[in-house]
Amino acid sequence: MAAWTAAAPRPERTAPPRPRSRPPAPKPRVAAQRRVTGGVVWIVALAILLAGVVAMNVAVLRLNMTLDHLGRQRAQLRADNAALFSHLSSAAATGRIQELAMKRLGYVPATAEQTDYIHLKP
Amino acid sequence: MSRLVNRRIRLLLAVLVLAFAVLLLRAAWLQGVRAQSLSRLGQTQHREQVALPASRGTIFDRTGVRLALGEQATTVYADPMQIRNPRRVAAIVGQTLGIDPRAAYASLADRTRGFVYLARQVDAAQAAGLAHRKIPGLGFLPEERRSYPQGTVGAQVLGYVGVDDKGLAGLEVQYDHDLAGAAGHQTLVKDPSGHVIDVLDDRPERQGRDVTLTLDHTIQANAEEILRETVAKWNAKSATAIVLDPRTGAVLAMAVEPGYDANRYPSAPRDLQRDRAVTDTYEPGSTFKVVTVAAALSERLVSPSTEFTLPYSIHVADRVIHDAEPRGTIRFSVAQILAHSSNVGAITLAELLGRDRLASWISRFGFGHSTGIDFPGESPGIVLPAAKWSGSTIGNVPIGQGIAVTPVQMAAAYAAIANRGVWSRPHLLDHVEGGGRPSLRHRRIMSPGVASQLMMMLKDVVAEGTGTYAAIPGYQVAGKTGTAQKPDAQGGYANGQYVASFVGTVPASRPRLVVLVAVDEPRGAIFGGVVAAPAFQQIASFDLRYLEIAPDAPTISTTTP
Repeated sequence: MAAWTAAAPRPERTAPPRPRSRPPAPKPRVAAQRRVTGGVVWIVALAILLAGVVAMNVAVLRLNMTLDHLGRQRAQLRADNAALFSHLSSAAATGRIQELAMKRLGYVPATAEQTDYIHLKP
Repeated sequence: MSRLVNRRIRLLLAVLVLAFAVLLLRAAWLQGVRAQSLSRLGQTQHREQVALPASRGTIFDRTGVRLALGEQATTVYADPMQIRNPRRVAAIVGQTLGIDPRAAYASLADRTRGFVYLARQVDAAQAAGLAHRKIPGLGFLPEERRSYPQGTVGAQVLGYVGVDDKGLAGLEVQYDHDLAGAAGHQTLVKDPSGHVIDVLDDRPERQGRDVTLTLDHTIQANAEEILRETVAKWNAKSATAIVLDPRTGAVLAMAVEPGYDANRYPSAPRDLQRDRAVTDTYEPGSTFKVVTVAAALSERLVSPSTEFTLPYSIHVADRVIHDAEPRGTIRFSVAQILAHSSNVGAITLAELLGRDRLASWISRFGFGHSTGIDFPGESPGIVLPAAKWSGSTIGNVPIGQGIAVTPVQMAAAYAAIANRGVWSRPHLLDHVEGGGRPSLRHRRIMSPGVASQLMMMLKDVVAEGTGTYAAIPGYQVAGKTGTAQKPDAQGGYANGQYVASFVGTVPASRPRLVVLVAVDEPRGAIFGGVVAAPAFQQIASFDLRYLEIAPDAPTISTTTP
């Protein structure tokens, strides 16, 4: 009978790595997530576009209101100018200037005898 | 239990579905069936058609001073149906705007009308004060009011504009097409608070174009002042003066006294509103003799030195005409006939010419025809056709009676003499904004030689004849006096009623101005040499200095460096 004697420990043999079994294809869940993400992106993009359209319309409305305000200002300026021109023309009236010159400064129109003319040679 | 809950949930769902179905039906009804009518209603509430009135062009004088321009004003109107207390509102309106509250009340109390004017074109600041009170039923419309800042200066020439901004008289109507412009319109969209948020349709207004005249406001004002003094001094009915440039026919002044404030045109007497210089005629008297002499010289029948033996009076058909001053028989040259204004001498020359030639020359000088001046209502004057002359007409017309002319015709005739025989059409317009200058009309009516001879003779009128009061120190003056009886309604001549006139040109050596003065019915003195010549002298003296026209006579010192 053979006796088994304690022999040197056998080197442990590690079991050969078992081939990993592939996880099941996660298709339904990830695809859904991707669709959701894409939809969100589209919604955000549309929202930004709509917000831009609204902002532009608001800007146009504000511009129109500003134009209207400027138009009123222009009309008022024209009216003010007309009043000033009228005042200027009245002030330029010859009779008024002559009267003022006479009263305030004692000026009288020069006569022909008091006027000298100088002929300038070209 | 769960069955109960489920039933309740289904019930709630049914109620919600029903509610939304009702809302959906309502939306479909409003946006489908009622869409058009609601859209129209919305447009009337938010849209407004606004007229854009065009500003009327400004009238400038030749120096750029504004003689007529538009100012902002406000028209106040009311809807009597909305006025709760017409008496109170009328009092407020009357107090604020300075109008008669009774007239305002009459308008406001008339509930049959939905629109009445309370005040047209009132001061904008006053109207703003009324608007501030926010009285229901009152409305305010911005309008332009025509203003004439210089008041009386050139009033008859400028004319007037009505409340609808349309020219009614004078140059305002002559150039209304250029001054008026064209109104525009806008369709506005407003928010509920009345702010404009969009402009749907916009046709801009075309502003009126500015008009620049040949008038000079300084020369015009001075002429009017001197005429006022002349009318007052001689207690005359009226007076007219024209100052024009003989080289171009440009009218520098056209004055008529008595005048009026152009801003008060509606209340000015009708009699004063006319520009008599263009629309009224008068018998020119001796100022017309220059036509007779010009004709005789041009036809080479006489020369300036040709002498005639002239008795004090002359028989023409059934009439006897004599000179103004009693004298014996005398020998006068043609030059002396003009210088001393001899009626007998002028008729003698006319008889030499004959009816047809004299009539032809009268027409050649422009009498009996409109000058074509750019002013409405010009009279062509009254000139009897040659075929209708009676035997005594040759005794009247050559001395300026039996013929009616306008002051502008007479001034243009003398301007032709001053302009070396070339007649220029008188005109008031210098140019319209954006347009060129209108073409000047000239025609030669006599040779330069005859014109020169006439100028020499007219200088003698002032130097030694009837026009000595027209002399201006330092200047050579050429001119002619005129004293003409006024016709009466019976076809004869009115006793004691005369037109005294003087027409002259200065400086005679190189004419720059023609000045005509005509005084209607002076009292105390009737002669042109006494009444009109001094006024000519004052007007011309001022204008010569103002325009810096150097003297041409040796009595004033001049220095040539």
